Amino acid sequence: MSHDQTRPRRRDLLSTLAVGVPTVIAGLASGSRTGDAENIKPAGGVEPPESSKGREPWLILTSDEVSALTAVMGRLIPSDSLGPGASDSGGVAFIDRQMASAYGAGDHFYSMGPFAPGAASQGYQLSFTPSQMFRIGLEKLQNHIGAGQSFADLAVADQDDLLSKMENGEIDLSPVPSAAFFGNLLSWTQQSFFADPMYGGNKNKVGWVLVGFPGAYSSYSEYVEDYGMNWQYPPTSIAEDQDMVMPNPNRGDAQ
Amino acid sequence: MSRTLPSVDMVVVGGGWSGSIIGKEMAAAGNRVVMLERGAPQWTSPDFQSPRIHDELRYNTRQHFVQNAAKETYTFRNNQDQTALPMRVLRFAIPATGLGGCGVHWSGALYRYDEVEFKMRSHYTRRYGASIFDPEITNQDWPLSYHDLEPYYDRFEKLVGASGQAGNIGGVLQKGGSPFEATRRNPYPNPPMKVPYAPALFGEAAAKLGYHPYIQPSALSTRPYINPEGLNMNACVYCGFCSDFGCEHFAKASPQVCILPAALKQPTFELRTHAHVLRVELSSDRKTARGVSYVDAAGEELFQPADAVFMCAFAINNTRLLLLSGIGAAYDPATGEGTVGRNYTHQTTGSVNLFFDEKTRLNPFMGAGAVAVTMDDFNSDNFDHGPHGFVGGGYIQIQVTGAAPISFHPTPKGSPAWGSAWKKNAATCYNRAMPIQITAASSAYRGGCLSLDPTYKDGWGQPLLRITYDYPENDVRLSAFLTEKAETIGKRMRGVIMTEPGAAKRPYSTASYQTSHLTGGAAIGMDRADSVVNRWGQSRDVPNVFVAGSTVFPQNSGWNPTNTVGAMAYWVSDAVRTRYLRQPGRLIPS
Repeated sequence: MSHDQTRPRRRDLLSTLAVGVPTVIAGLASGSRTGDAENIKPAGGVEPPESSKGREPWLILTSDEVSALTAVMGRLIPSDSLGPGASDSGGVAFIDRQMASAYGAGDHFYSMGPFAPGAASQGYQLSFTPSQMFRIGLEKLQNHIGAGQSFADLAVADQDDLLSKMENGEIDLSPVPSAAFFGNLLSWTQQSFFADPMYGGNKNKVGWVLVGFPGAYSSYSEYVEDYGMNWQYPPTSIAEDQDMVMPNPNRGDAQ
Repeated sequence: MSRTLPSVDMVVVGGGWSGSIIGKEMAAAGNRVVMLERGAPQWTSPDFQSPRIHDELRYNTRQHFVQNAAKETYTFRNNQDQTALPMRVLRFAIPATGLGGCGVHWSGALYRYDEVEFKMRSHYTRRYGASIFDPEITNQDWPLSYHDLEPYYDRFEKLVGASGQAGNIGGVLQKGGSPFEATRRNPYPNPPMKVPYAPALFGEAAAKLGYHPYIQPSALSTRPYINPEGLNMNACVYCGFCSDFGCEHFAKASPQVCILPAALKQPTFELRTHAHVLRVELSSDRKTARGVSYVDAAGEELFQPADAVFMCAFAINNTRLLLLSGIGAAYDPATGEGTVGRNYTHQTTGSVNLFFDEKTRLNPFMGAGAVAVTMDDFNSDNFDHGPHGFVGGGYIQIQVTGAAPISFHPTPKGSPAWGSAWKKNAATCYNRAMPIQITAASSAYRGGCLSLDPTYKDGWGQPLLRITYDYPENDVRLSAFLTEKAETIGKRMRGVIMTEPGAAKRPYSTASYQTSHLTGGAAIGMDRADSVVNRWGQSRDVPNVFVAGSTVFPQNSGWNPTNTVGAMAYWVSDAVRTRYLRQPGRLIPS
C-alpha cells in the first residue's frame, strides 16, 4: 500500500515544525501569513493540474473569472512546502460547480425584502445569492485594480496586500462590502479544499492529507480507545470508495 | 378554495420524535390517525447509506436535513427597540425538515432533567430566597414533577436503546454514574459508550480536581438491541459522521429506526409526506379545532377534518402554528399580558478551546454524536448558588462528534485566517486541539419572546415567526462561571499547553451556530396566567389541541432536551388515552 507517501511526510512535518518557531505552541506559525510566500511551487515539483490553467469545461465562470479565482485561491491556501493549495487541487472547479448549483443560485436563501443592514447579531442581510456575490465581487475587484492588469498579474506581495485590505473591509467594491466578499471567498476556498473530491476540489485528497483527516471510513470501533495511535492509512473518498473495506490491523495493513 | 378530505379521529402535525410516538400510541389505541410531515420521506436504507452519507459538504455545510430558509425562516432582533430582520441563511440552529425531523441529524445526547428543574421557581426561592431571581426573570415551576415523568423517561430510554451508566437506581448510588442524578427505576438498557482520547483526558483531570465525571448517556446503541416495539438497533461504530448526518448503521436512534415502522404497521395510521400545515381551523366560537389546512406536494390546499390535533412540529414552530391559528392570546412583553410566545429561551453555551503539545495525537475523527465525558458538579442546584447570584447550571464536557475538516480545522484565535501561515497552523493543530463544551440553562425573562413578524412572510404568504432574545444577565454570569471552571479543568489536562476561554457574551447572535435546543413559547404551567398548555400538554383555549416538544418547556435546563421531549410525548399520549378520550373536548382536570 502507498501510505508511506503521506503519513511519514506528516510526521516529518510535525518534527520539522517543532523547532525554530518561537511561539506558545510548538510548530505553530505566527505573525505574517505570507511567511512561506517564496514556496509557491507545489511540493515535489508536481505540475499544477489542468484545472488551474483554465481548460476545464467551465459551467458558469468566464475565463477572466477563472484567472482571478485561480490567483486569489492560490493565495488563500497557497501551494507551498506543505503541499498543493486550493487552486492546484481543483478549487476553481469546485467554485464553478457550486456557483452553478441550486445552492449557488440561492435555493436556501431567504430573498424577500425589505432589505436593511441590521446589527451584526442579525447575520447576513445582503441581497446577493452566493453566486451573485462572487460574480459581482470579482467584477468590482477587477475595476478596483484598473484597466491593463488583473489580479493574477500582480506581484504576490501586492496580491496579499489587496486580500488583507479586503479582509478588513478597507477597499470599496460597492455594492458588495469587501469584507463580506472576502469572507465568502475564504469560506468557499476552504470548502473546496476539505470537501469530498467528488465536488471538484481537494484533488488527490490533498486537504485531508494535510491535516490528517482519513475521509469517508465507516468505522473506528476497534481504534477509538487506542489512545494516541498513529493512524497511517491513506484517506478514502466517496467517489473512489464505493466498495470500501476498512483496513484490518490483524492483516498488517498498517505496516 | 380548499378541498375537504374525509374526517379522521386525530391529525398529527410533524413526523419527528413527538409525532411518531404520539401517532403510534394513538393508532395502537384504535384511533384513525393521519400524520402530516412537511418534508420528504426518508429511511435509513437507502437514504442514509454509506459512502454517500459521509459527505460533509452536503449534510453539514449545506444542511441537507434542515428547514429551507428560502421558504421558511425566522426573523430576529435582540430587543423590542430593534426592527427584526429575517435570518436569510439559517445559522443559529438546525431545525429539521423531513421524515424523522431532528431525530435524524441529532447527536443523541440523552439526559434526564432532575427534580430541581421541574421546581425551578419554588426550589431556588426556598433555598436562597426570592431575591436570587433577577426581577426580569420569569422562570416558573412545571405543573408536574420529575417523579411524575420518571416512568416515561424510562419508556423513551428503552425505545431509543439508550446507553449509559446509571448513577442512582432506587436511591442507591451506582459506581461510574453521576452521583447527582435523580433516582431512576431501571439501569439504561445498554452499557455506556467507548471513550475517545480527549474525553478520557478530560475525565482524568476532572476526577483529580475532585469532580464527578461520567460517560454521557446517549441514544446511540452500544450493542445489538431489540426495543419494546420489536425493532432492531446495531452497535455504534464511531464513524464520526453523526451530528448533522443520518446514521447508516441503525445505531443512532431515530424515529425511522425506533418507532415509525411500528406506527406504519397500525391499520389506522396513515403517513402523508410533503404536507405543509398552514393552520388549525377553529369552530366559530374558537373553542374547538375542526382540523388542519395544509398544502400538498402539488401545491393544492386541503382541509383535513379531525376530532383532535397534536402539534408536533419542530419546537418553536408549534408556537408559530398556535399564533397563525389564533389559539390563545399572544404575549405582549410591554404589559406581560397574554401567554402565547412568552418565556422563549434557548441554551446558554460556553467553550474553552484546548491546544495540546506535539506528542499528543487526539484522532478527533474517531467519534460519535453523543460520545462524551461529562460532569454535573455545576449543573442544576448541585452546588451552592448563594455566592454567585444566578440561578441554573450546566454541564462541562468534551464530546467528540467527529472531525470532518470543513467545520473542524482549529487554529488559535488571532492567528492568520489564510495563507501559508494558516495552512501550517491548520496542519499542526488538527490532531492537537479540542474544545471543552458547556451546555447551560437558559432562564426565561420578560423581554424574550416569540411573535408573528409584521413584515416578513414565508413561501405560503404567512407571517414568519419573530424571535426577540438576548442573554439575560443571569445567564451571562452563569456562562462566565462555568467557563472559568472549565478552563481550570482544561489547564489540568495532560498535554494541554494553551487554553482559549469563550464564555457567552451579549449580544446573543444568530450569525453563528448556538444550539438547536430552542425552547419555550407555549409554556406549560399552573394556570391560565402563566401557561399556554396544562400539565397534559392540552391547550387551555382549544381543548382538542395538544402541544408537544420543547416549546412547552417554561425555561431551559442545563441539559439537552430530547429525553424530556420523548418522555413528554409518552406522558401526553397516556393522558389522552386514559383521561381525555373519556370526555373529548373538555379540559382534563389536573
